Amino acid sequence: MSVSLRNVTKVFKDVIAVDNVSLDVKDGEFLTLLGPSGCGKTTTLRIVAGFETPTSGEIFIEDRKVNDIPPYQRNTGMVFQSYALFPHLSVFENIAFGLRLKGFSESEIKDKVRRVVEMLGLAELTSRNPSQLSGGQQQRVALARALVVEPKVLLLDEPLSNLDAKLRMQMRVELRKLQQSLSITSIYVTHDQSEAMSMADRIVVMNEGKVQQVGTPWEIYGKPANRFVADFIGRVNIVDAKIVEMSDESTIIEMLGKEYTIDFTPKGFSIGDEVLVILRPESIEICPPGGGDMDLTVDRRVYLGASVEYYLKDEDLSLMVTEANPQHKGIHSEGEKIGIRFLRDCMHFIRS
Amino acid sequence: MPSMLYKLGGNVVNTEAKEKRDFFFNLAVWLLIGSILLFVVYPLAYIFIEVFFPEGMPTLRLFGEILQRHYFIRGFINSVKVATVVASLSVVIGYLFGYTVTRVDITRRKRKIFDLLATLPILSPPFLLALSAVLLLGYNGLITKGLLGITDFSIYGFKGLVIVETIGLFPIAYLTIKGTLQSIDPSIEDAASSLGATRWYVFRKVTLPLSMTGVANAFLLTFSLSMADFGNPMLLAGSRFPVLSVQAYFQITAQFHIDKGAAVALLLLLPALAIFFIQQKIIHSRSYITVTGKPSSLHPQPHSKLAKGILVTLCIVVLGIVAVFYATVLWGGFTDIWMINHVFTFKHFAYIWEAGREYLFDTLILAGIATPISGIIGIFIAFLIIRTKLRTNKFMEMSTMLNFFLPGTVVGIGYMLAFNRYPLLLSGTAYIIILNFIFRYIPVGIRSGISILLQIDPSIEEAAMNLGANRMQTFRKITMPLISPAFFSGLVYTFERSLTAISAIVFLVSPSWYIFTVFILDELSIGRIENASAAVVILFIIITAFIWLAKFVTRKMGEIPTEIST
Repeated sequence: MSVSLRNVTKVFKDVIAVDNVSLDVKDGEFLTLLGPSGCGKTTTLRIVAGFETPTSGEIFIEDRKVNDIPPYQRNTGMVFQSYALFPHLSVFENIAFGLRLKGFSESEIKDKVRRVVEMLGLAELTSRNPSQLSGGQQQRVALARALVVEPKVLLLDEPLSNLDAKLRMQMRVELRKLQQSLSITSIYVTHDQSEAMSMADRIVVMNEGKVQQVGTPWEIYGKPANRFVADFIGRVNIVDAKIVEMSDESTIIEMLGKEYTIDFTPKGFSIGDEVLVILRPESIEICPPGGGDMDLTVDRRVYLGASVEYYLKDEDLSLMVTEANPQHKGIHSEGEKIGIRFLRDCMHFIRS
Repeated sequence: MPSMLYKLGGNVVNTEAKEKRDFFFNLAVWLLIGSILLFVVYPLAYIFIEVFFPEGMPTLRLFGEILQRHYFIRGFINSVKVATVVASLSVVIGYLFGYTVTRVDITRRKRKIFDLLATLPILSPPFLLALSAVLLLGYNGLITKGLLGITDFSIYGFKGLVIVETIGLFPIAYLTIKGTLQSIDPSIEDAASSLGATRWYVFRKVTLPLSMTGVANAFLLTFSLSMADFGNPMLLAGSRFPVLSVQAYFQITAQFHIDKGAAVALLLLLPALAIFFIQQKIIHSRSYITVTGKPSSLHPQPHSKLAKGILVTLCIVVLGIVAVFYATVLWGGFTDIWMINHVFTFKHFAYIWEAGREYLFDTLILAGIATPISGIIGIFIAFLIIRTKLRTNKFMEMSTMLNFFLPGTVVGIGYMLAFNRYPLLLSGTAYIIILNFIFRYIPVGIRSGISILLQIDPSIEEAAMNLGANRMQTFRKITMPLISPAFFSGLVYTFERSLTAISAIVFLVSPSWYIFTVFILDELSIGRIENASAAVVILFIIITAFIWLAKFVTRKMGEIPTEIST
């Protein structure tokens, strides 16, 4: 089942929470809305669920316009950040709640609940009260309650944010597996970029109510559309540069007082353009002094086990470089002079 | 084009449905505002009218007369004097218990008993403590005459009032201060300890300063309750120690000076109003103290043997006195003639059943009618306050709160003045009593409604809607079950307050509709203290039975584990 938003805007008093957002969620797709708090991602989700009426714009679920359909007739399954389990009902009754409203017979309800609790490993807990469950179990009940009614689209509002780090990792994998096996269209709101990266088919990065970029995790990380996206997803060095020459298969830029030849042509730029070069910390190699593009001094070093971060400095330049597997490659000390080499094929340009 | 038409059509239907709902909703709100104006604001305003516009022209004559009469000035001074001493003592004892229960490492059982006994006097019917004081310390008292052989000690007047009102009001101070102590983040005190502060130093420099708003609040509350007290001074103040609430009553019922009674009520009203607004300011200033607003769990900490010993001993002494006062009334009710013939007898209870049964049933009926209405109005206002942004919310909350807070004497005289003439001739009917009960205790419903509605995460209601429940189904299956325990216990409290009400209702009873507490007052005024004791015991048993029943039913309904929703 597909979901579409067309030019949706939501204004609260004097704040524009959602600013002219258009989106298409494909059938069976896992789409993540990612952004800092207050970026409008939760409001967008609530507009799809019907808890907020858009100030303008249209929402379609399965090609049917749902602007005037109340939330209880939209058939969306929502998992709330606080889980919102009914505290006065048992786990079974929580899950059966939606089924009863749909008028299923008692035996059908039992059957459907049994199937979903088995799928989610809750079979032993159905007679308990929500308060007797751990956070992870409550989370599963919330999910089961939303899934059992077989909604057209699953809406998840930061469902893992109340779990501890280890459980969160585990639930990411489980949730994604479940979503794929049911191939249910899902919209997932989070502010955690690694959550978005690891789960989503596509990510929508939002800021200040506006869509910044829509793309696969690969595109969002490797080819951020603007400075906000580059900064928000992962860590980044951003360096000024100028395009000096361009041909069909290569480009020459002037960066940090030197010219670099790159084996591709960035789209939408022409000779003479001022650009920003996106250099991920892992896209810079360390080599002996004098052996690379330039030499810099190690100002600070953070050892993380699997990798080591170097904060390098010059008179007017500071760069962050990460090197994996320091056990094998060795580690440099603070104050040491080292050479670096920019990986040309990992460079990405955005407008300055 | 067809889709355009569809859209227009859809919108029209939607707006109509919305307007229909809004119509009933608005009607309910306006009816509510109208009745608050009529049954809360109008009677209070009438006191001012009676005093300052007795013949339709503005005059200060009556008020001037009152102020010139030595007797009324003394009444004012006495009331303030008693209230000041009672409030100070209550705060000290309340703090003692609050601190011992929340901070001292006493056993669980001891904590439970302290808490239960220290809140017991809240439940007491009027006159109970004053009766005990007379039975124990009066001219013919068990302790004064019986044990010590003293006959020239007088419990009547300042001393007696201070004793019984302190016993009756320290529980209020205790609950207020306990709430504040519980809302202090325990880690703040732990931090002070870890920096090297002793227990005593932590208390002086951290705990006490952080709980000062609770202390101030407790002082104001007990002060105004002492000012408003009618039952105890009725028995203990006498004519040589006049206090305002009793003076107003005598002016009206004995001397039929309604205008002077109103002027005395005004003397009671003005300080109460001042305190009310100061208190509102304190509550709303919400300084750094109640950081979470949510009482955290108890935070007992190790204390030295000496400190613990002193605190626990003091608590036990106070509770011992409370216990003695309660036991004395019970004994008095079962005694033939106090201090003369201590034979166990049921005859006073038999008399109450004979002579007072009807009044008791009247009271139960009237309170039973008023309580659910009051509760529903309270919950509705709570709903408006939490889930809407109507401009009238503040007015509804403040005016009903004021009616709850003001001395019953003032409210009763207001009702008597406002509703004894056309077009609202309600005097002598059951309606005036019911209306008084309803509008007096609305804030109880508002408070329990607000606290429970705040605890229900709106997303719980949204989750129900998301699963296909419409507004009505959501309210019935989710909101109602979640709020009903609190709603129900609010009802029981309102009912209990109605059964024990005296200060306002004493102005509103009539031969056709009488009230049990006024019947007790009648027995007292002709000196039948054994009968009065028996009646007080009966009332106490009824109240306690209802409270236990309510606890039982609420448990049956299922205690809602609200933590989960936050």
